[in-house]
Amino acid sequence: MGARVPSTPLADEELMEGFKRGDEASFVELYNRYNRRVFAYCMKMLGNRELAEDIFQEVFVRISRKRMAFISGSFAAWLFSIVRNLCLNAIRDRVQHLPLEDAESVTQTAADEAEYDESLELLRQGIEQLPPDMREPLILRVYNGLSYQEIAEVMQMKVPTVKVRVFRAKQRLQQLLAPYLTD
Amino acid sequence: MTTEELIIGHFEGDLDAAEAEQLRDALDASPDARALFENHESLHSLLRTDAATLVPAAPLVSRVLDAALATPSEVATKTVSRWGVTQIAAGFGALVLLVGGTLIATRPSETALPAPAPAVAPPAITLEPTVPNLPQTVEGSMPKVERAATASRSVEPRRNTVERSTTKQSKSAPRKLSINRNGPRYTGSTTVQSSQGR
Repeated sequence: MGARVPSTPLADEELMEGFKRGDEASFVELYNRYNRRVFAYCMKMLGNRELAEDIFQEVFVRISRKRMAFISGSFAAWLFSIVRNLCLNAIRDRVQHLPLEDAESVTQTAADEAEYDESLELLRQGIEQLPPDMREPLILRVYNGLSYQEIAEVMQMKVPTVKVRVFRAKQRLQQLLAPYLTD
Repeated sequence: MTTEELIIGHFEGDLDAAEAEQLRDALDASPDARALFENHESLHSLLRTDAATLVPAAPLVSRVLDAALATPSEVATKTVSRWGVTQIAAGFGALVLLVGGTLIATRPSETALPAPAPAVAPPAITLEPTVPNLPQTVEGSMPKVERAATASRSVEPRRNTVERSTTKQSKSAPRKLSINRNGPRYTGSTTVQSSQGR
């Protein structure tokens, strides 16, 4: 716990190495950098605040527990691989455990609870209408700020494929929202 | 590249200088291109606003941080790596011993004579007992077995057992202990062998 004052911010991977050596301040820094993005991803993927909060907690507990499993590569890609898997598991569990009408009502709960203005609500609906293979790269790109390379790692696909999907998602979204965007 | 690809590339920050120039030309030339550009600009602004609204509540943020910091690291990975180093060292040591032992064992001795070839092939062992179903562990009542002296596997260990037990008895015999000015001293041949072995 020395008085380390870095002149430039440490990279995520350096912070993770520090955390592996037992430096909790490194983890706090990583947490501050990523907690909003992880939460945004959970909200966008799950569409339910309560469930998103549960997964949000599980993500960071798991990061802490499995810190030694991080070997090399992009920390963001590693983190969002974990977030993605947990969200996909949660979606699968929810579909398995809820009757269809309940599942539909759950996806609308976030909209009912959140204080979205009309345009944001239209945007949310537009994103939900996107096919999953377009929606997810878009969320990782726009809401989580991942690079194409990192998205490719998270989704285990090639970078040009990611680029095309992000492009098509934006194109589709623009078409869906065009009547409202011109106002 | 289409105009829309240039527009989306612009908001993604993917355009090089030539492509940016191409986009400027397209926007100057076409009102439709300008409308499309404005739509995408509004869309990006909306996406950024939406992302900014998705914030976890402050109590949740502190609670999750506390929970994560209180979670111990899984030690399995550590154990595996530490065990790996030990295993590598032990494996290397065993390999050295094995290679060294093999070299010593297989090195031809300069003084050793070549082993003489057996003059007569060992006769085949007849295992059929003259008295059927007689228990073979009973001493003195073994069935007659025709065998070569060199191939008497079932007889040799029995004799060894006797010798071993004799040796054991001699070792376990009480030792004589005499004390002189130089301290305690063992006497007797068994005692000398025993003390030399120590």
